[in-house]
Amino acid sequence: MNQLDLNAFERLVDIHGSDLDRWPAALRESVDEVLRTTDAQRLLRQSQALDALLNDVPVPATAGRDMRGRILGSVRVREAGWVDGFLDWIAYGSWGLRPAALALVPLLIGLGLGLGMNPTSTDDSLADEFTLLAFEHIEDYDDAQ
Amino acid sequence: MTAVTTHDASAFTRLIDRHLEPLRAFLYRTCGNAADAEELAQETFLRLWRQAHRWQPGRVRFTTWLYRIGRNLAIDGFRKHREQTTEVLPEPVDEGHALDTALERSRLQARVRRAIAQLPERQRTALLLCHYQGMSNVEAAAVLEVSIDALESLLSRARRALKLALKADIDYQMEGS
Repeated sequence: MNQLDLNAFERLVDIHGSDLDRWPAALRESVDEVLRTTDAQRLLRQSQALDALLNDVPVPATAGRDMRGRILGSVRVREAGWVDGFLDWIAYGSWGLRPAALALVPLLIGLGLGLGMNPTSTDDSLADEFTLLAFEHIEDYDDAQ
Repeated sequence: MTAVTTHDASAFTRLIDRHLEPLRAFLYRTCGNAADAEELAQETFLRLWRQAHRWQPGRVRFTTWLYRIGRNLAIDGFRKHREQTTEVLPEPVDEGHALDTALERSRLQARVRRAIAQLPERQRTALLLCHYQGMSNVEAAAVLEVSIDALESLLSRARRALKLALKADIDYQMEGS
């Protein structure tokens, strides 16, 4: 086996790992010859040692209890609130409709403000206040008389 | 998954039962913190539920989609925190004392975790998906949204970097075997 073959073998071990049973069948057959050399055997043992180290790192148990329950609970809370639902839709909903919906928000706010500032109703309330003030003065005048 | 797209809660529960633990393990190895991994796993399933209608069967595998969401959330979290909070066991106070086997093993595990954490994100994810999650190179490439050649290059570089970082421990293991 020349140097290139050893490099190619090392690359294959790095890509597919040290467990030859997990390699694609076609590749497995091609390495039988290579593995007769001590260099290739050393590379494989080195990779097996690395895999053993990786496999010995544990994942700690779940710290919080009942993760499934918490996920399902969060889903129910989200579903219950229409505000959250709307915010979720703004954040994650259809890309096509989101800009249109966002553009609609200031339009609706503008409409609301416009209706709130009805000039007719404002004039009426001012007229009423002036009328009351006028009667107040007349009463004062009558008392003085 | 098809049932989940119509917001079928029992189907969603079955998906959680099947995929929560492997996903949590992947996220723990990605971010190096158990509490963050749980939070990320929870958020991944919430996103999955909210966006279920967007999943198209035949276009992308469910696991590919799930791990893609989880990875993206982990990257976002990493950007927010700026630095990872890897849980590393404290060093013993007196190096001169004889270390028992359990402590030595814990320290070795911490070194391996640190070596994994120091890999560039894409190399680390490629390694985690293929080695720990048992994904094929095709599946892992789909999660990372890269070609299979690129995935194989990431894997190769990741394992070479780990062999270099853990050379003393690997040599020790080889002597013992």
